[in-house]
Amino acid sequence: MTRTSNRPVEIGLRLYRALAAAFPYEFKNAYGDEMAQDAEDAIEEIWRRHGVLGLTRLMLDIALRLPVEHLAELRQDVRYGLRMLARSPGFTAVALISLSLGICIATCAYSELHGMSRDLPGVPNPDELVAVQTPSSYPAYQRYRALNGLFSATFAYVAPVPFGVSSGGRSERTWGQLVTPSYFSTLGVQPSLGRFFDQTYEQPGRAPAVVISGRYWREHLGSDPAIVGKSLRINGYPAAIIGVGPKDFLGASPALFAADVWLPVTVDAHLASELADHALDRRDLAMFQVVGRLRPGVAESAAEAELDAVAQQLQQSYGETARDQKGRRVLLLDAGKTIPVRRRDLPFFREFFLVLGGMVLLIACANVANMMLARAADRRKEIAVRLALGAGRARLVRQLLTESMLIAVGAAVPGFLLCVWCMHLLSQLRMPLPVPVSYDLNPDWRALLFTFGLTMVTGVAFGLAPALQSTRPSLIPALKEGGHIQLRKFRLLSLRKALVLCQMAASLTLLLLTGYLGLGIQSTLGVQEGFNPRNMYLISLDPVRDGYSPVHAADFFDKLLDRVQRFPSVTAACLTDTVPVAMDGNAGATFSTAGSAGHAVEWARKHVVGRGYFETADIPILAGRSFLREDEAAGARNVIVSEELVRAVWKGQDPLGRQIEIGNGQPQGGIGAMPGTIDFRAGALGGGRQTYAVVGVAKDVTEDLVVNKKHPAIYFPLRITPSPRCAA
Amino acid sequence: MYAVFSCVIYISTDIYMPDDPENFLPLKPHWFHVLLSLDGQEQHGYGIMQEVLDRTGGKVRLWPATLYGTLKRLMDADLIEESTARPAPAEDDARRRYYRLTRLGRRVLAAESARLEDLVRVIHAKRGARERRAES
Repeated sequence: MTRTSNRPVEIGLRLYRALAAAFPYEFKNAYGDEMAQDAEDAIEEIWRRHGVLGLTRLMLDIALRLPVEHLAELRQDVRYGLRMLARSPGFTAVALISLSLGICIATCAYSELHGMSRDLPGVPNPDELVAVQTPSSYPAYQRYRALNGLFSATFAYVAPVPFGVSSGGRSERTWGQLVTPSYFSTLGVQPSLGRFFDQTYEQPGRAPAVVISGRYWREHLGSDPAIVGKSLRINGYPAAIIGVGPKDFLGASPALFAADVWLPVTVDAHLASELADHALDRRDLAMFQVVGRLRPGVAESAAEAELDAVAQQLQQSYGETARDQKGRRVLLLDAGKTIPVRRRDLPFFREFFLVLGGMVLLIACANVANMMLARAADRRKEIAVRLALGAGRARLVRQLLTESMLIAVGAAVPGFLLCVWCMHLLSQLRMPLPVPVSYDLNPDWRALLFTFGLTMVTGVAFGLAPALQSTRPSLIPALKEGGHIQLRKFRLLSLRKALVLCQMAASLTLLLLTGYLGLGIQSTLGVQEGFNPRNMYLISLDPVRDGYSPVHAADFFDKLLDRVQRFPSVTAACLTDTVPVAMDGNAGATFSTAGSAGHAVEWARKHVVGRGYFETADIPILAGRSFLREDEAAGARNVIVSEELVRAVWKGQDPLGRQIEIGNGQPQGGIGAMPGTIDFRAGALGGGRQTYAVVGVAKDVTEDLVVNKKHPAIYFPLRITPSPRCAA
Repeated sequence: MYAVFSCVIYISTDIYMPDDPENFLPLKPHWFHVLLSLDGQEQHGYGIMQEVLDRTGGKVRLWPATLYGTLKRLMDADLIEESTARPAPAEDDARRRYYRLTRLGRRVLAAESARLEDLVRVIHAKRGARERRAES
């Protein structure tokens, strides 16, 4: 051995020995000592001849060789593992299938969660954005906007608004929004072409202008680079395109109300009928979604409290006492997400999905771990021999873990592909709603990263315990007993029992959950009573938005209905403004029974239906008659009421010929099934009080969400209004 | 199905390496130097390192980690083996293991030597032709 007092050489040697000790076990066992010895013998001469460069070269040589040898050993392990798996194809197939399904479901859960709580695309600092949960009136928005201490910027918008947009001679219903000029600047998005609305659009009277989405520009306008300044026909009237939105931007609420066109709220009412009747001045017309960007340092709860106080002041100044209203009037949502949810509700969604996905993965892991244990018992002799021949326990554990990792990786690939397919299908699913609800749940790189991490955890989770147990250094029984492991018969809680227990518990929980969900769906499907949905189709038309005058539209509807009724395949058809089960919520109306003592004010659902509606929807008329042509005349004041209304108001007495007074000017927008939706149509809101006569009683129909209880309902005859639907 | 699966696994995991020296050519320079050092003699690692250094006039140094990595791979490829015979006690270094060429190792070394000689012959022929053209 060369003795040296040279300091660099000493340090070099110490480092060299440390690196040599980090080599894989087998290599170290065979060549480690000699390698270190050679370096020790040669280092003095290298130092003398080459100096620091020589020492560096010596260190680099071993430092670079270290990962190469580890990789070589891993490759050997992988080859060995693949051979072992190929030898038991049944085990491999079952393990791959169960883990693929587990990984697929867990990744789906992650993608769903992530898709639902995705940040608004292209919007900077989305965490600062908050939205008022229920729509507000424009005067209320103006009060909120004045709270400069809370918000650095605010905007309000009406959504979803259907527009008849013509491009290239073809008119198409396109969803858009009516926005305040600060909409884009508050969100912080930049136009890809042209400009957005500026403060001058705050005042009415400007020439109609429209901003279109990047999607609409690509799909309908051929990505025309000179589109700015050109005109687009909206609801039959020209509007100049002043800008094109960023590439993937579909508005402030892209999942619930994806928008392709934006018009300022000050636009003339003939372009947007929502703005008719001085909508911006009406305090009773709560149709504006209000979004604000919180100033740095302002807590959401503080903002909520202050807004609530303002809302309360507003109510008091209007002389409305809302003693029956409990809790806050204003609740804030996280508006920086594609689906606005309350921040405190987010953990529920997150945990629910992750627990479900995790449970499935846990079952799969427990299943595979159990099989691995059984297999380890079979391989006991092989492992014992390898231990006896001097293989380290850590080395064997690593070999077994490599096998479980191989299974995990082999399952992750089909699992992820399956997840991509499932999520693609789910994203394509269109809900039966008249608003543009769309979800993008497609897994992205984050989901891929999640799957990768999950795979690694899974591989260790189901591989480590069996690996540790099967490499316990108790060689003699394994060698003696011909390779069979002796299972302890009276052990209360062995690993295998614990695994089976876990598996059973998780499976049972999932089975119960699925069972209850299935039963729930079945029973809700079963309560769609009161009308017959079989072979019933709904066609929604809006000729006025396509540029028809109201007179032409009425004529068109008459002719359309006449032609549809003549089709041999159609048994009944009618025009209607409301349908039996509407997810957006039919409007309500307050009424009082004329002449009764005390004028008790009652509330009922309001339906506006055409002649033949009851026959078409198969809703039985229990007393009186259905609507006739004379009921649609301008002066006629006849209504049909539901059985539940008769029961509630007249306690079962004959209602025919009785009078009711309807309408008191209060907003009666029926809060829809979805949070934040409201029926804001001007026609749905009460005007002055008028007296109607009851001419018929219709059987009850379940409303809105089919699980809701029956509501009293009043049916009004349809006079052609701007937005009737046609049911056939 | 199982048969196909097994075949794929075996083919992908087994290095298909029959005893044909041509399959190893061209040899990596390190492999060639080690085989050449063991030609006709048994040698330990340090000896190989020194011999290569001397033989190449200090131009080629097989650094220890590279050397033992190469020895491991040559053993795995069955080109060298550990020798049980030890040199005379006076020359024997008890701490070290000795290696020698296998039959396959000798054939591979011969084939690689022949290949390199051919190359040298080609270079000489080319140079000779150029010099002759220059003279004429």
